[in-house]
Amino acid sequence: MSSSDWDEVKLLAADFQRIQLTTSSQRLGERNCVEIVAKLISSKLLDVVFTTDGKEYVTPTHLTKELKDEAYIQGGRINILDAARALKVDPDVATSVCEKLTKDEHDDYCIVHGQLIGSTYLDQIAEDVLDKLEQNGHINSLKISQQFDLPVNIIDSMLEKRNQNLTFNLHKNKNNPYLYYTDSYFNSIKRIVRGALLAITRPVLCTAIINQCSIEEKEFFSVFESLLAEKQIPGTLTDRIGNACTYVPNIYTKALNNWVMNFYSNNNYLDYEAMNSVGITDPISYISRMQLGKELIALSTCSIGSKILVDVSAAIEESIASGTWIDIMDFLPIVFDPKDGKLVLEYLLKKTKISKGFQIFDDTVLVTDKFIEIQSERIINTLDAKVKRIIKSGEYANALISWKIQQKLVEDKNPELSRKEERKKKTGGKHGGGTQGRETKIKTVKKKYGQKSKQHDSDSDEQENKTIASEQFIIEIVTSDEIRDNLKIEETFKDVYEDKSSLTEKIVSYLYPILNKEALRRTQEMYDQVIANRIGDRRKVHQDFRDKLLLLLSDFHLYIKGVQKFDNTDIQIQLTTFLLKSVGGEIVESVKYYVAQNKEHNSESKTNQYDKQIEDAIEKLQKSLTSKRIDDFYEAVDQLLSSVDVVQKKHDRKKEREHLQNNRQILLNSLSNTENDAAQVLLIVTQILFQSITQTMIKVSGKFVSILLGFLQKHLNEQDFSVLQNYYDLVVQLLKTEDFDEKENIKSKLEEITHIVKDLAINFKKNLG
Amino acid sequence: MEKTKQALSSIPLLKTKAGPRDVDLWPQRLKEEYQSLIQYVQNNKAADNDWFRLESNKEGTKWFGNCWVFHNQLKYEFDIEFDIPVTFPTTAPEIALPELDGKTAKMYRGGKICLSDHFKPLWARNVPKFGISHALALGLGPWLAVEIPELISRGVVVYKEKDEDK
Repeated sequence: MSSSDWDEVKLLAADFQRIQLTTSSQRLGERNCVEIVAKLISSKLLDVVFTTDGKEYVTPTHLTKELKDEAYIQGGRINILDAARALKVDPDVATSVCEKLTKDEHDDYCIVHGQLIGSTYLDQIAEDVLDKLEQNGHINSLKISQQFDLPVNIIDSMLEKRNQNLTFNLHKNKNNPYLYYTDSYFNSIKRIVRGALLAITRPVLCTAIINQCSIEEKEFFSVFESLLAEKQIPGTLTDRIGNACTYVPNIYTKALNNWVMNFYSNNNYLDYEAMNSVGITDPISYISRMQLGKELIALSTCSIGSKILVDVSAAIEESIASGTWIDIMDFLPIVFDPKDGKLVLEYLLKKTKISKGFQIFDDTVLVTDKFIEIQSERIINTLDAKVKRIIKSGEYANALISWKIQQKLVEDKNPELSRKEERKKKTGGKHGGGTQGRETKIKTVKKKYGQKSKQHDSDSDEQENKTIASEQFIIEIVTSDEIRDNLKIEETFKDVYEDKSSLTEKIVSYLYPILNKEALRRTQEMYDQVIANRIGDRRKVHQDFRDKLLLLLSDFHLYIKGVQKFDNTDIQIQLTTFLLKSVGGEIVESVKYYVAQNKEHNSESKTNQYDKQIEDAIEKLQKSLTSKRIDDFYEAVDQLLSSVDVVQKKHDRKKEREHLQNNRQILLNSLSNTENDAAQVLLIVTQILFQSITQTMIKVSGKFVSILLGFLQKHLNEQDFSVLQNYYDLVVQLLKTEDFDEKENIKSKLEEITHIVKDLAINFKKNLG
Repeated sequence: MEKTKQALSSIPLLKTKAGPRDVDLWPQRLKEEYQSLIQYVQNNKAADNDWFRLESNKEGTKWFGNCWVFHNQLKYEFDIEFDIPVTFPTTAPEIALPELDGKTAKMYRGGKICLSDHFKPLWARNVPKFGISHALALGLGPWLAVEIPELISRGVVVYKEKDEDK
């Protein structure tokens, strides 16, 4: 068993050896194949491409054919990557193969976006597109490009290529290169547009036309251009801003132009608003484009022609020449607003080079200085009465004082300000110098500027102006109302007052400070004069008072002297008492009157002490009168005189004589004036005679006549005395009797001898003389 | 790997579990070994993949021969020798390439090749179905395919002109 087995083993081992030694079959193994091909490729004897699984080799030509087939199967178009995947080749290899293919057969194939596209496919698309084009009349290559996912230029080139052998003409839109039209379509649109444009008579927005015609905007513009080139459009397009542009027909432009020209030739100005209403959106530039634009002056609401300007200019010159006022607005058409008026006025003033001699109110009203002068003078002249009243009533004086107090207060409050002013005064008009000087100079300039602006403000605001005015002026003499009323009287304002209330207001506010200043100046003048007069008066009063007082005193002295001529002391005392009563009373009266007058003049007089002193003196004097003693009287008089500032002069013989002469003259005068009163005549005659005899004056009342007669008896001759005595008796009888006839009888008797008595007195003097 | 599997499936499996010490059954086993080897070699040759020559002593316990590897169109030949272990077929034979002793780390002393880790469990699972042919196909074949190009690139193994084929 085992041996047989071993035999078998031996046999098998032999078999094994035999089998091993047999040459291996001649079949080429896969491994060798790969190696051989690799060898061939590396030695460039074979050009093959590996498939992606590495199991197969493909020759490029076969691959090309496969790709072509693949593309054909897919409808003429294939993604190269997809193809590579399907054919199990490397995408790079597939791409390079495709590139080679398009190079070799560029008429039939092309690569677009990594896709291989055959000409058949393009032909098909082109056919579709052209069908569509024929059907619709227009086509957008962009849309096709989107639809087929192809670049526009391919579509374009495709369409161009087939353009020649078409039954219709293909057009490209000039504004949009992606748009294609057929002839018929283009022409139909052209007709529509031309019809629309011809029908339009006024400017229309292009969008409106486009909407109306229901065509594409781009089409419209290309059609428009072609029509324009053919000169078939009666109009123009405005500049395009985005898509908003307007078609303006020529007929409209012409009509507009005619309208403007007519308007201008009729009115000699052009109103922007009116122009706007007829459809000119930018009148200023429109006018400037026009032929006549050069002679027009553009204002804010209108443009004005030379004719109006000449008129206005003439009016201005005339009013300046005649010294009245002029409102430009009256000479301009109604449409002009004040702003325009202002511009016109400024322009004309510049042109005519008039820059002085007028004020401008309300921007448009030119008022000559002459006119203002006349008006203000007139108003000032009406104020005299008022000024007098103000001064008389003391209102002015009070205001002056309170103003001064205020000023003082202000100064106290702002010491800096006053200091500044001081400095300003110091440095005012200083030229050059150190830095300090220059600095202050700048400051002053600044201040001036500030004041100016303040003034300007006050111009604009009347209310403010008033408050400022009342601050500025010591007293408001002329009120705005007064000025206004006065202006109303001015005839040039009469007819236009209603319209020009603002003008008059302006003039009033302009005149207000000026007039007030002027009035104040006048008031001050008048006040100064009055004050001067018053001081003069007082001096005169004092003088008069003094003279009168002294006269009375010297009279008194002389009378006393006369009294002393009587021997009888009893008579002396009686006479003295009378003198004290009469003359002393007179003195007291005059002093009282003077004091009262003084009080009236200076209400807050110097001092109360002064008053009291005088009153004391007067009281004392009055007491002395009743004391019947001359010495007391003299003492009181001395005191009085010192209290009223009167110096009693020493007796002067010359003056005394003069005084006597005067007294005699007075007596003689009164004698000649006295006719019917016999008692009076007798009194005066006795007095004259007394004076003539004693060379002293006497002052007596009627009851002392008998005493006087007694005195005279010694000095007169008998004849004369008897005449006097007779006259005296008659007078006594006349006074005593009650019977009317008796009285008449005595009167007639007295009348007979009155002239004798008079002569006696007069002649007696003569005799002596 | 697929190739190896394919090759493996075409190698007939063995049935007898006997080592050299089983005097009765060892010839039976040896017969099967030979049959398997014959089939394997035939397969290889058919596939133009002949890569070794092998013979044994009379008892079939010592085997020797040679094997070759093509690399860059060059044939590298190595001697093979191995003994059938006493515990065969429970343990796989340890194939040795004495020429390469000390030239690579993947080798035990005496030129025995270090087989991959999964060879041993694979073998253990297939006792007694695997035989020498399996050890060659699964052990030496892959080892050569991996190690030789590396050894060549390292310059440890140099191509030697041999006149054997001539």
